Amino acid sequence: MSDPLIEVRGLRRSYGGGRTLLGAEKPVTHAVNDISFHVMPGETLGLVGESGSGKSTAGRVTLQLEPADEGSIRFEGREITGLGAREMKPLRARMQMIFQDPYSALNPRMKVGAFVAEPLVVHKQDAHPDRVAELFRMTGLDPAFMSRYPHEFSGGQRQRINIARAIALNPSFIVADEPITALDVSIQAQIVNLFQDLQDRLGLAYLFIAHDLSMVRYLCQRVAVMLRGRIVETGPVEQIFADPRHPYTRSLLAAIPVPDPDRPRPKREIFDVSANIPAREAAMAEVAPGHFVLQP
Amino acid sequence: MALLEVENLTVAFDTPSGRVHAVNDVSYTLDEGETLGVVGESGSGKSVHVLAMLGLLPKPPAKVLGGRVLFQGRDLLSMSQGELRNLRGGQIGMVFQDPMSSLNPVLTVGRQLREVIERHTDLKGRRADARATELLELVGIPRPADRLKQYPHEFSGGMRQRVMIAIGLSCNPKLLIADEATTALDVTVQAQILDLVRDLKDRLGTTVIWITHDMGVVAELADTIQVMYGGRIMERGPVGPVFRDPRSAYTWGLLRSLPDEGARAQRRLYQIPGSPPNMADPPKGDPFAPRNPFATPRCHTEVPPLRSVGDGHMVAAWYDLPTALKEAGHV
Repeated sequence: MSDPLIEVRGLRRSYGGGRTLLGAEKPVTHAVNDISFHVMPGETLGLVGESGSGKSTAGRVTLQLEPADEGSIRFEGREITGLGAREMKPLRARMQMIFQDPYSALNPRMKVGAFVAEPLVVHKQDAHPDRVAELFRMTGLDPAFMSRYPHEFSGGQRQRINIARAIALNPSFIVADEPITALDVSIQAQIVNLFQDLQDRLGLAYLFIAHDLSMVRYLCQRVAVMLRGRIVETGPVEQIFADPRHPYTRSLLAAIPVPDPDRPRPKREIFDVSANIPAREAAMAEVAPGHFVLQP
Repeated sequence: MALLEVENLTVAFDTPSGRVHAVNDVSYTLDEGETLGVVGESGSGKSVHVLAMLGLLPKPPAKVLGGRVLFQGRDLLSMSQGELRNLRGGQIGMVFQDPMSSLNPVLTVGRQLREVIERHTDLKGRRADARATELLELVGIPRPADRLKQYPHEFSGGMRQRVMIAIGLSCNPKLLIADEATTALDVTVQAQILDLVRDLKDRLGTTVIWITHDMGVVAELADTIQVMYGGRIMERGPVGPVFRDPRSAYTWGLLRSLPDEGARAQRRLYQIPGSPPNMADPPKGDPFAPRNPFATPRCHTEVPPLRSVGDGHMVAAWYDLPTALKEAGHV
C-alpha cells in the first residue's frame, strides 16, 4: 500500500481562554480536540458532523490556514506544522481550499481571468492566457469569458471559477468546505461531476466537508464523523452506512430525508448532542478493517 | 374543503434594468389539512409567490399585476395591511430561513414569544408565559423556562430556528407557511422539526405550505408536490405519482440527478445542463425549454398551459415525457 498523501495525528485547536479586561476567565472552546485522519493520493475523504462540530476548523488547520495547538500534519511525507512562510510557500501551491460561498470568495473588481491567473503570478509560474484558457476549459467555462467580471456569472459558474483558480498550481490535495451547499439543486450535480472529472484527470485527493450525507456516500470512499471536536467514527463509506456503530452516526444516518414517498417513516430516535460529549480519554477501536469507532 | 385558493397570481419587480416577471399566472387550491411541498430553485417564484400573498413584498419595486388569493373565502390581496398583520402570526403562521434577521436582538426570546401570543390569542401575562414555555418544550429546546429569559444571540443557529418555528406555531395557525425553514439546520435537527410538523398535522389538522429545494424533505412531509420554475408551476400532484411517474422534464431531471444507488453504481450523476433562467430576460415559451433535452419547437415559442395527466396530477408541457423518454432510450 502506498503512503498517505496527508496524515494528521492528534490535532488540537482551541479558541478563547485567557482573561477579559475585567479579569474574568474566558471559556475555552476545543474546536478540534485530538483528531487523527489520513487521505490517500487520489482519494476522497468525507468529513461530516453537526454545525459547530469542528469540521471547518479541521479543514483550515489541516491546510495550516490557522495554526494547530498540538499535533502533527505530514503532507507528501513532510511535517508541515511549525514551518515558516517561506518554507510553506511551495507546499501551499500543492494544497488548496474551495469554500461554500462562491460569491464572497471572488474579488468583484477583478476580471475572472486575472483572478484565476493570480496564484500563477504569485508563484512565478506560467500565467500566459493560453494556460488560463486551459484552466477555464478544464472547469467547463468558456475562455471567451476571461475578461468579464464576477457579477456577470451565475452561482454555478462562479464556483467553477473558484475551482479553476484552485487547480491552477497543480495541487495534489483540495479541502472543499461545503462547496455545493449554496448552489441551486440543478447545478449541484454539475459541480460534483466536475470534482470527479478533475480527480480522474489530475489524481487529486479531496477532503470533502459536507452535511449532505447522500452526496458524501456518492462521492467519498471513506468518511469521518465529527462530534464536538472529536472524530467518533471513521471508515469506508459503504461500511459505515451499512453498519454504523456510534450512536451519533446512527442518529445522523437515520435523519437523512429519503426522496421516496412510499418509504415508511419510523419515529426516529434522536441523539442528544449536548448530553453526549465524548470523554477526553476516549480512544478509537477498530471494529472492522479500516472502520474505527470512539469507545466511551 | 379549500382553505386557500390562488387564482392567476402574477407578480413583477420593477428594476433599473426593466421589469422582472417573478410569478406568472400561478393558480392552485390547497385543502384544509393538506401539506403542500413547493420545490424550486432561484428565480422559480416559490418564495415570492407566498410573500406576495402575505403582503410582505416591498411595493415598489414589487407589484402584484393580477390575481386573487382567497384564504377562507376572503381575498388576501385586497385586505388592508392591518388586517393582514392580524392574520400573519395568528391564523397564518410563518417560518423563514434566516432566524437572526427575524428576531429582535434587544428583546428576550420570552418577551417576543409573549407579544405574539398576547396579540393573537386571549392568553395574557402569566398564562401567555406558560404557553411560551410549552411551545419551546414542543420544539425540543431544553430548559425552556431558563431559555425564555435569554436573548437571541445566546441561542445557536439551530436553536434560534426552533424559536422561530415556536413563534410560527404559537397561535395554532390554520395555515403554516415555511420557506426553507430547515435548510440551514443540521440533519438531525431537521428530522426533529419534520417529526414535529407531522405531529401537529395529525393532532391539530394544520394545513402546511413547505417550501424547500430538497426532494427528500418533500417526500417525508408533503401530500402534494408543486414544482416551480421560472415563476411558473411546471408540475403538481400527489407525491406518490409525481415521484414515480414525473411528467415534466424538469421534475424528472431533479429526481434523476439525486445521488442514489443508481448514480453510485454508475459513478456519475445525471446533470441538468445549463443554469436557471435570468428572470430579467426570461426565455420565450416554456421557461425550462433551453435546458430541456426533450423540448419540441413549440416549447421555445409558446407557454404550455397546465393539463391533467392523472388524478390531481398536472403538468405544463407541450411534450409527452413518457414518449420522449422511450424515444431517447431512457426507459
